[in-house]
Amino acid sequence: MEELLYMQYIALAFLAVLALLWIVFEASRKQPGKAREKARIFACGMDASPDSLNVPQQGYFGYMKRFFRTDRLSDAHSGRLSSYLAWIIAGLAVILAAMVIMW
Amino acid sequence: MILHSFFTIPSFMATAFVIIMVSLKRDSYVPLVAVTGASLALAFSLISIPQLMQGSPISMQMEEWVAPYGITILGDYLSISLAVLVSFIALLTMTFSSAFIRERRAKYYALLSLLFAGILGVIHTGDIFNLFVFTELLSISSYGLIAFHKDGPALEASIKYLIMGSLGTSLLLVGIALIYGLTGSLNMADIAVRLSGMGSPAVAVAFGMILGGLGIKAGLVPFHTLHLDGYTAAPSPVSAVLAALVANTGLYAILRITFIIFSSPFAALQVLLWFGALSMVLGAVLALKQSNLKRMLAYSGVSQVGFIAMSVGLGTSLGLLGGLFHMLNQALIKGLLFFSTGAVVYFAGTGELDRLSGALKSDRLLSFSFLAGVLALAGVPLFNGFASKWIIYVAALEVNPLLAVLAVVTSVITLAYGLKAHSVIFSGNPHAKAVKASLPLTMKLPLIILTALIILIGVLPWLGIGVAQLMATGLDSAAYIGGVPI
Repeated sequence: MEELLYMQYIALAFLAVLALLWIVFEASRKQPGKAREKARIFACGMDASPDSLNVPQQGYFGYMKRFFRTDRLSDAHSGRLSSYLAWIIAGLAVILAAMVIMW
Repeated sequence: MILHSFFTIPSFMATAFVIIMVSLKRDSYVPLVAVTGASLALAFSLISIPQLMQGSPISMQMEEWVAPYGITILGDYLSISLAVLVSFIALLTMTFSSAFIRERRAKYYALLSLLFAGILGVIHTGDIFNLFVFTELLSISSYGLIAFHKDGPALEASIKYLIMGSLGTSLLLVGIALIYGLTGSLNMADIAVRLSGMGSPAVAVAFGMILGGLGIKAGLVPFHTLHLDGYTAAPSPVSAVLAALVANTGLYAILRITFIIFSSPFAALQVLLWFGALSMVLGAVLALKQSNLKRMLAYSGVSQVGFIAMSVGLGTSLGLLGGLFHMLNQALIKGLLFFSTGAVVYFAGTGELDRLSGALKSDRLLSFSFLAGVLALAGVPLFNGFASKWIIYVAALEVNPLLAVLAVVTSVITLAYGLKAHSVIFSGNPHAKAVKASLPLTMKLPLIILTALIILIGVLPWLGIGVAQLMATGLDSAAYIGGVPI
């Protein structure tokens, strides 16, 4: 059970990091005028619409989908009852085999 | 001695009956009756805690029929803790549903009450055939609740749930029949005594059948397909109950039978370990690909059940502690996430992420509750999921470091899909007009209570660990057999 004590230290460290981030965030907000000026220069004096500045939320995790190419798995979960039952029967066969061999 | 928490079962059965009677006169009183019934059940489960202080387990015989012939009702730290959890979630579900469900309320609440009666029956029974009967009660109520919306997807999901659920309960029944044929008893403690030292392959087959049947209820890969369509099509409060309680009930029954009747055989623990690890990873990877919020949470449920099964399957006391603690935490987290999702669907009218972009940008309470649920699910520090997942990581590291690495990677994937959903709903660029949400108090209250509990256990994890340690004593076969009349 002594290993579990690390849990408290990790939680405390996490809290410390959060506090640090909050301080940095608050400190950076203290000069709103400068920040706004800088943004204006970056946008070449034009008004930038929020749509053009925001990261598209829908596609943001798209690369993760591509990383986990699990199309075959998705096909096996397409809602067909026969494939759902096939999963169950296969699982039962594995369990029964494992039980009889290892019991 | 009369076990007070036993009365949670008749409380819910009586509630179902009274609801039907009341609805004949005035339909608007139905939610009030349901909330009252759930409050009564919670009170019964809470007042049975002092009984445990006098000695655990407590057992009583139905209708004075002596064991092993009569049905034994049992209360120990494991069953009472889960009874409190079930009654508590039931109360929140009834409260949340009062604004969410506007039509055919009597049928909805009556079925929901029977579902809770079935869950509590499985938790309290010391008779293996009675366990099957209560499993059927909760299953049949689930079929009706999933089909509640009566539209195409709901009916299709319900039929699938019925076919797969019936397959599961049939396997369970065949396993029980084999056990009865081998031992001539249905009393769990009596079966455990009679099976000790019996090495027949028929015992292994019987256990395999029971494990397969209950695995379907728990949603372990490759039996996970039961839940996918059901969670998606059911009304959101029902999805919360299915994910938070029904899956846990299946796991509870697996643990009771594995540890008490069969004295935790190596083969069973190995099956739990590897099927658990597979569920953990596969559930998370598939959740990442989902575009429907409820289906994403359904896969996420598969992943979390995997965490619990893997942890218990490690076969160490730390693994058992982590698994039981995560079982408690997961019920709270899943409840919160499905209630939040219910509120999102209630306002936006859809669960499709593509159509939810920025839909609820203005609702801070909903945003915070959902975020708290996601962070707890992923095991971020200061939320309850961190404490139980940390124990699971440590337990896995001691047995097989590869499993610990897999668990950490899975948690990262969980954080990815959880934050993706949160960012789309609450900070995405609105495609259509953003919904000006004003949650009714009956929907706000469950969200606030569950969020507060998740943070409280996250900040003071020893509260939950203490309960989980007591629950683990309920899986001591010798103490169980010694404490129950045979």
